[in-house]
Amino acid sequence: MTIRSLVPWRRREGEEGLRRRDFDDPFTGFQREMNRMFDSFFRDFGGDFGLAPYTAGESLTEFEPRINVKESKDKVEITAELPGMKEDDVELTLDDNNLVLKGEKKHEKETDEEGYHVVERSYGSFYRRVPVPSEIDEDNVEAEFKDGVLNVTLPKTETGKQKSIKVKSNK
Amino acid sequence: MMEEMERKKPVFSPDLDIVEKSDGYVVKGDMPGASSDSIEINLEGDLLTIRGNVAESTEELPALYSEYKVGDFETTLRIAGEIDRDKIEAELKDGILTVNMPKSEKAKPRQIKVNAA
Repeated sequence: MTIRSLVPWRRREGEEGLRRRDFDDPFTGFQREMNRMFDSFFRDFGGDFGLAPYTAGESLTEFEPRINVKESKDKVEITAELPGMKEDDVELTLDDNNLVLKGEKKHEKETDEEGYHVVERSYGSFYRRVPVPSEIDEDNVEAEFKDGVLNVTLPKTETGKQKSIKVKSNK
Repeated sequence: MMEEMERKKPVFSPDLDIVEKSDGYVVKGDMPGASSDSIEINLEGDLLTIRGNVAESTEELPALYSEYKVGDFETTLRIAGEIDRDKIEAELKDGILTVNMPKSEKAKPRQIKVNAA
């Protein structure tokens, strides 16, 4: 066991172990490096991997699920990337026409971990309010989990469907 | 190997964690929505490449707001450690890919027995 295993999560260049290599876009690589720098800066405040730093101005959540919002004439579809999670891990509520996602992404530790070479994934609690862009029929909202993606379908009410404004051309 | 030259440019690169254990390495990647039959893991020399695809949903609605893209993904790693290549195993569950790479016998830390004189 060498001394480096005492600082397990720092990415170490030029040492034995596994390293990333980005595909050919220099900007992707640069941005990834910047993200890693910020990530490792904030992680250093935690005494243990996964603790949220208590510095003021930090986000209240440790994990930010990414979402997509799609809309058609009769429904709104909101999808969220929640890898490793299932129905019981998320609490979904509708609050004043916002869809609220709340839960926790757990960090499963391996038995017998000696150190991390690369850490890009994040863990922890999350809370997101997604404004729903239309009036919806709350009683018929459906949500389903598949392969770590949450799919929420929100049907529009009749008045919601009619809100689109027809643009006339002025010829 | 003409098909090697026709890969589409990947749309995103999954986040990875790499953990070292005494007997191997574990790579974990977040790839929600990926189908296990789309995933290809190749080890050529010391370069490990993970490729796959997240399928578009069958009913594609117009997007209002997007934070993530869906499609082909790819990520590569250079492995400097000694891996027992025949024993690499991978599993995809709920959008998380776990690749287990055991160290080859000679790379494992060995206990050296001290004999009493």
